[in-house]
Amino acid sequence: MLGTTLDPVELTLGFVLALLSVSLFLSAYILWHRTEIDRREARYKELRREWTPLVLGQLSGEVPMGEVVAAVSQRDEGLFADFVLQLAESLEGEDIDGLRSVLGACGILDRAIDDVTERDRHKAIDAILLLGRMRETRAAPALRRVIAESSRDDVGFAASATLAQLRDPRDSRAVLDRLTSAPRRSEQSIGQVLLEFGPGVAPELEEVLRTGASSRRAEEMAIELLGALRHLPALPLLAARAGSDRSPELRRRAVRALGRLGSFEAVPVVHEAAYAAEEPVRLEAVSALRRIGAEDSTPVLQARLEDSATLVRHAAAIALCELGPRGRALVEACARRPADDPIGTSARTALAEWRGATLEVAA
Amino acid sequence: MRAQAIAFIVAFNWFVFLYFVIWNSSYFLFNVLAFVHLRERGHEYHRRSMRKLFQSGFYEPVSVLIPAHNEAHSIVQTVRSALHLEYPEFEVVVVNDGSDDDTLAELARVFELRPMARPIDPTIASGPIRGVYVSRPFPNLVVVDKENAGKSDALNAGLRVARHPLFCSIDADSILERDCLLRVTRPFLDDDTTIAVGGTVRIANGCHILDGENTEVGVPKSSLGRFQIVEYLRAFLFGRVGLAALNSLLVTSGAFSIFRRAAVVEVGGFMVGAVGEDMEIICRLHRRFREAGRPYRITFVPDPVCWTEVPETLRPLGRQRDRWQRGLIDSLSRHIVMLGNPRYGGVGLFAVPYFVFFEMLGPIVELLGYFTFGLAWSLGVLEPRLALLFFVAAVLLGFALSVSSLFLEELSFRRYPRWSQMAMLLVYGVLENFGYRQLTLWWRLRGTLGYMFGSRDWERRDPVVSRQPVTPAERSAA
Repeated sequence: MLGTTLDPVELTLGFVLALLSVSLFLSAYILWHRTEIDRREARYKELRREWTPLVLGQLSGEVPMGEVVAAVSQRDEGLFADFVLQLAESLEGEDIDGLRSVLGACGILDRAIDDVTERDRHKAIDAILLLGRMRETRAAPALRRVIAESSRDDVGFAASATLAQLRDPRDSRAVLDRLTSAPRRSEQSIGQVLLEFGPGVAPELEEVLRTGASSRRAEEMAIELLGALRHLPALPLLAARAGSDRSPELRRRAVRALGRLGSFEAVPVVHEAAYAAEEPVRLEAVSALRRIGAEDSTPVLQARLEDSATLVRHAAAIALCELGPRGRALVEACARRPADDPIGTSARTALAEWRGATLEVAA
Repeated sequence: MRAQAIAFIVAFNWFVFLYFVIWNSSYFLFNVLAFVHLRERGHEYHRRSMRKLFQSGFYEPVSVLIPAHNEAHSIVQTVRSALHLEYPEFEVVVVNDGSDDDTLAELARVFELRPMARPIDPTIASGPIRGVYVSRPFPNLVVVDKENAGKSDALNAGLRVARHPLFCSIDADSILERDCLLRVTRPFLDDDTTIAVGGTVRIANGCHILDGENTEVGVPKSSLGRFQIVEYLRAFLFGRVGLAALNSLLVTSGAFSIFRRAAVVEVGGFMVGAVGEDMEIICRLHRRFREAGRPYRITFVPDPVCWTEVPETLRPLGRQRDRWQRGLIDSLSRHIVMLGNPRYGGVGLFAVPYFVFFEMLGPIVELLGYFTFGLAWSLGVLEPRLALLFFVAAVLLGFALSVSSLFLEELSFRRYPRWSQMAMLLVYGVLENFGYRQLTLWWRLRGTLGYMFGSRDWERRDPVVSRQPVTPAERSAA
């Protein structure tokens, strides 16, 4: 506010003018952009009205393919691909095959295959998603190349997910290795992608455990998935890992997978795991025994009622309650211990929770 | 004496100039970071198919904690909204914090509650829990009834009962978008070291709410409501995105935040007695993880997830802002050890100094500015042209910041669907500099003085201002 050698008036005036220009430019851009978006949406609605009867007519054989191709070639093909993707959400099976033919005839699938390896990742991801939804097997080589070469995690993930949708189990190993090498990729997402391959992926996963050539993370995922797939032939491999692997985390996962298999053959290994030094392994073992439901687990679970860890005691009590009257009687006996006894408290809490659950089921 | 006064004015002018430059450079930096982030991730927010792809199978179970004190009028709608969330595995834990009204009775009546036994985590302290109930038709709805001890204590009680590895705290009158958990839990899946994520809160006034769902986005009728829309966009779209990009986020909204349970348990839960528990817990998490040298991430999801009612009259709005300012000062003063301390990395060297010097002390500097203006005028040394230009620059800067947040909104989410709504918000971005900004300054100043001189007014909470979606700090973006 005072005069200085920097001539503050001119300085501030320049600043004011710059701010004014930027603000006005941005304001104008916002309003112009909104107008453009509204115009584009209106156009899309109009095209959708035109395309829907044409494409549905083609799927039912009433409209010749040439008519659809002619209608699309005069319009925005990008919008048509969006339209088809939306339409595909409500269609299955033969209709998807029909849509694939329409997109193929319009040349959109060929362009999408080229776009898979595009440097613009948004464009690449759009293309990958379209090919996945259309189950376009011709895209597999390009997708494999992306999985092997792309440095972008999201493009690699989209390619992996799409390749899994094409369901060639031979690709599962490459997908598993790619996804587990990304440090920030969650196992839920990896599992979801690999499960897309279907049960046929199990032998490849067994191979991962057998050869030990993949990373520890890939092995952990393979164990998880074999459990999720309930692949009984993997029981010996899983039992070996549950019993002797040096990593407690891998043993824990193997025990969980054994529980998911639900086979009585797994019981002896799980019983051993219930006495492991590590609390997470014991807890997993108790949960696995609850899932398997073998009555000869009663003594093991009874021992775990006195476990040093609250969660293990609680899980053991619930598992015993579910095993039947004998198990429940053991928990009830425990529950009669004094109020300040933590073992009695765990038993009482678990018993009350278990009873509550039964009442809800009955209701 | 006159010479001394003039020397003071000159020195203060230079101080204000530097303050102005550094403060606005920070905003410019936030803007650039937000622009880069939204451009980079925009396709994920935008494209339904992409979101679907990333969402499928992406989850860790979540406990949704809803602390409620005298919320009989809104609790049923909030719980319904929470129960209808699209998420593979979650539970809703409502904590009735000793309500004097029919909050518990309403819950019991509508959701058919029955007593249940639940392991209660002994590692976190909370006030006495009177009972734990489960809903018969909704087994994933648990209600904890406890004695009144405040929001932090209610959250701790909920945390003791919650079972899942992530928990989300929401206010008892928040309206959640149905897929908000899918969106806001993504950072936990992208990065194992993520311990807290804030979600964007937007203003529900003027929107059409049906069965706990926002079916049509609108703008409020009152000017106060419209000013707040611009404020919220500014605070959430570039303030928080920018700070999160620097892993220096110091607050996530109490109306919608999600945490890794183990991390919060490790620091002892929410601090009872803290004025702004949402900011305090984030500061404490930063401090603990930095001191332990452990990698961690606290981030923010700009995708709108939660809609909340804001006050549209002066008195409750003033009380809200007053309380926010006290919360800011309270949280910062508890963790002032981080200020300028390199041990705390970007948080100590950038975020805490930024919040202390610009957000906490901002109102005082602005007040001193007005005082100096008066002094210079009375001494006859005020150059009217420069003073006017300075005022115009301040107004334009406020407008430019508002426009840039509307620009980011237009590039990313476009939640205000009509052209007329965007035009109106642009106009309110200019108008807020005349009156509204000065009002917020006064409320913040009142909060600062109240905190300094020990007034306890903040403990009175209006139902409509029971949330803290934006810190007072970010409010001063103009």
